Amino acid sequence: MTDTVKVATRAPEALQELELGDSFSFDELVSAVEHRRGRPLRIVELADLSDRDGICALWFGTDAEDLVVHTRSVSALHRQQFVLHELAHIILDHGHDDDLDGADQLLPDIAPATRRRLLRRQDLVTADEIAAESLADHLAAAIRGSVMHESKYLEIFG
Amino acid sequence: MPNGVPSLPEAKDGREDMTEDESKMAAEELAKRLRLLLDVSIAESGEEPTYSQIAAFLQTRGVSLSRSRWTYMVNGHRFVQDRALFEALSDYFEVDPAFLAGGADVPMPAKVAAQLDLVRAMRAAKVKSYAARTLGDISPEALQAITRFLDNEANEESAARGPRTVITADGPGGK
Repeated sequence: MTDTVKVATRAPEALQELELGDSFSFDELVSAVEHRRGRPLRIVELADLSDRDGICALWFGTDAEDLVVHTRSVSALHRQQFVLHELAHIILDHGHDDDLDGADQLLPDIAPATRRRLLRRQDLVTADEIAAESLADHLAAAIRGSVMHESKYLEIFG
Repeated sequence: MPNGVPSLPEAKDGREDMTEDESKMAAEELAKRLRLLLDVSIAESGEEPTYSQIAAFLQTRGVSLSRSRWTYMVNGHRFVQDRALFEALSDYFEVDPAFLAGGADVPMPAKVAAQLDLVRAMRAAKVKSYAARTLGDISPEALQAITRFLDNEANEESAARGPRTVITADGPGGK
């Protein structure tokens, strides 16, 4: 997808579909995503990784659950944006574009056709990354406007 | 085939300029890639391709593959250096020739090996979709850390499924 207008408009639409209103807590966001996907969402910090390793966070959608893995970071704000970016991918239901030529940031040295065959997964295009970052910004703004005490948000980002 | 790349001897295995450790590692890397392709075939067709099926296909390309050679390739017992064989196998499995041949002429870069291992772990963990937020190149160490994590996830998931099937020349259990 390369239509920039579509990219720009998908984030507010996706946010609206979550039916969370203008401000919500991190817990409420996670619950809404789980409800919408009909499966659990786990968020895991990988102690072996730091943001010096070239990676901030990953989303793995398996048969049974959504798994967000993020690196350690001294900045809670950075961690927040890492995780919200991956939640945005989940909310936007990325990973279904049939684009053989798409760049892959995780597996750049495996030829696209081979990668697609091995993983039976379509490659994420740059537009998806832009859309995810855009939605992550919307999510962060909404969470900033909510009460965050005693939430998973503080366990993860506090 | 790229221009200017000399053909390699048809059936020469191992490499004279490799140490024993390097040769062993290259053999294991090749086996890892072959097993990944076999795994993909099983997922797609429900059956593992047999030696006979693979050898028959290769024969149509003018490439001979003995049963014993296939067995030690797929089990990583000996490094095989055979460009024509790699190209024919790549055709059979419908993957880019570099996927198999990449390790034949030069040792596989650590980051490529780490990416392939991650692909294996992602398959084992039944990952259907993924996305990564990166800051430039991901280090091999980071890829390995993610691979270990997914392997642990898959192991917990499949603890009750029993031991891994041994691959023989004619598929699981030597049927």
